[in-house]
Amino acid sequence: MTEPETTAPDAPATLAELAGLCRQRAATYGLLSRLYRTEVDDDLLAELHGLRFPASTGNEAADAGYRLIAGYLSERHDNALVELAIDYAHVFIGHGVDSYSAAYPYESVYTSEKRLLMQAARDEVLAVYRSQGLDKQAGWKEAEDHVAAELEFMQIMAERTADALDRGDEDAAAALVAVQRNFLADHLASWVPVMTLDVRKFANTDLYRGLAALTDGLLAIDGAFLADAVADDADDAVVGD
Amino acid sequence: MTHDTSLDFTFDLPADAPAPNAAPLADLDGEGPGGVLADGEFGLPNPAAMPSLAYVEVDDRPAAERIDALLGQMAPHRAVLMAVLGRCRTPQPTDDLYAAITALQENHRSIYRPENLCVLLERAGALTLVDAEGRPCADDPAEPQVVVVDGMEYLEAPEPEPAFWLTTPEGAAVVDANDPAARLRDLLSQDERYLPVYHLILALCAREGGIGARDAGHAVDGHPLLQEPRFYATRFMDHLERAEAIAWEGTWQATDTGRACLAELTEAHGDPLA
Repeated sequence: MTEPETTAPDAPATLAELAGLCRQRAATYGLLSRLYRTEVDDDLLAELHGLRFPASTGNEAADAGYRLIAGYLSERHDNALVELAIDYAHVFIGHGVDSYSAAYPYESVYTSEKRLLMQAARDEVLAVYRSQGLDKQAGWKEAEDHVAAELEFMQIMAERTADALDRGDEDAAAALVAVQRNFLADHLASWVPVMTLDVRKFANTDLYRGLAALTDGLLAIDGAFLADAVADDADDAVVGD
Repeated sequence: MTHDTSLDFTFDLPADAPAPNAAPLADLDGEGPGGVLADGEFGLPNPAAMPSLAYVEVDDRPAAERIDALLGQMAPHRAVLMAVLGRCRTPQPTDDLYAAITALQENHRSIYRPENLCVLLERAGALTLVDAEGRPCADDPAEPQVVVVDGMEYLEAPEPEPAFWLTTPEGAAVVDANDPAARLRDLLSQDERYLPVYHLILALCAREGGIGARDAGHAVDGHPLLQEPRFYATRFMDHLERAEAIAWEGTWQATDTGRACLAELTEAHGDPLA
């Protein structure tokens, strides 16, 4: 009779590994935020051409998004900046007056009854930003519930988490993770998947179609990660009682 | 005692009268007239009601017609476009051509980047993008490369293969048919009354350093022929520019076509600056 096989549990990630992971998350949120914020310019296009995109993340939507974006960048587009600027306007600005002519990148549009800007969602996210000592810059003329601002908030929180982990301040890191988890669940995950459906409807370039798929995938991946992280913290707290 | 019966208000409604201001209301259960809002608490858009937009890119007109239309629609850029077509009779590396167009546009600020102009010419059928072997680039789209770094697979966009812009036969035909001297002769023939004005402008532009727009106005606007009906130098300079007789190079300067015409006019009518 053989001894039953036992497998040692996965070794918990070190603080340094978690910090590195949070910095990767921050970089990813930063890239998404930039792609939604304004049109692609020379610098961003050059940066995109220099990036490596994961071939397999384990999430179908994220993989599809990376493939579409990498595919677009692999093709020859001598007029890429103009083509992408046209698509950006087509996707996010539109040309109609019926509030259904584009994928308007504002939470208020998707969570208010009449699809208006500057509704309750904007007030809520602004309160969250201010609770973390953040506010929009003077040069940013869009509402605070613009998807680029919400993604940048997650980027900043992820960077702060990495900094806290580097300092060894687990309590601060845990608090920041909770903020991110709640913000993702209460805000980003509640409306962005509907917006990305619209992005796919209006986009004519694979870059923006890929952005929609990538956003869905990464929010799902990060949502699962944050939920696990918060659950782990809760388990640790119970064990420590 | 009488009372005014012209205003037939009544507040005693018949039992079966519709309620005042009755309007069809959407059923609060969400099954309203149907349309833009889907069922649900937050009134999210109904995907089925989304407008479907057709993105039409196909232009099946002959290339000659498309090129003619493009040059007509982009008259201020005609000289640059024709210069591009002339240059690309031999395959031009893309970066070299864009640098050359940037130099051509030094005195012609434009929202059109060099790449825009080339793509517009391509869509009109005047230019085509080919690889080093002369094959159209569109026939061989590149795929992302898979690279392995630290055991993980990544997708990378490959470096683009060298590509060259080449003038198509239709584009070359437009260049061959371009006869600015003939257009200038037609202009002077059609506007014969103002021949002295054109002669004066050409002479001013042919001087070393050319002439600025304001100075041209001061020198020409007072000409007797321009008083009734009242015309200004800019009208005639615009015509001369479209005929490629003068060009803006920081100042208005006569082109070779303009100088040749000036020589003929001076021989026939004397020096207008004398």
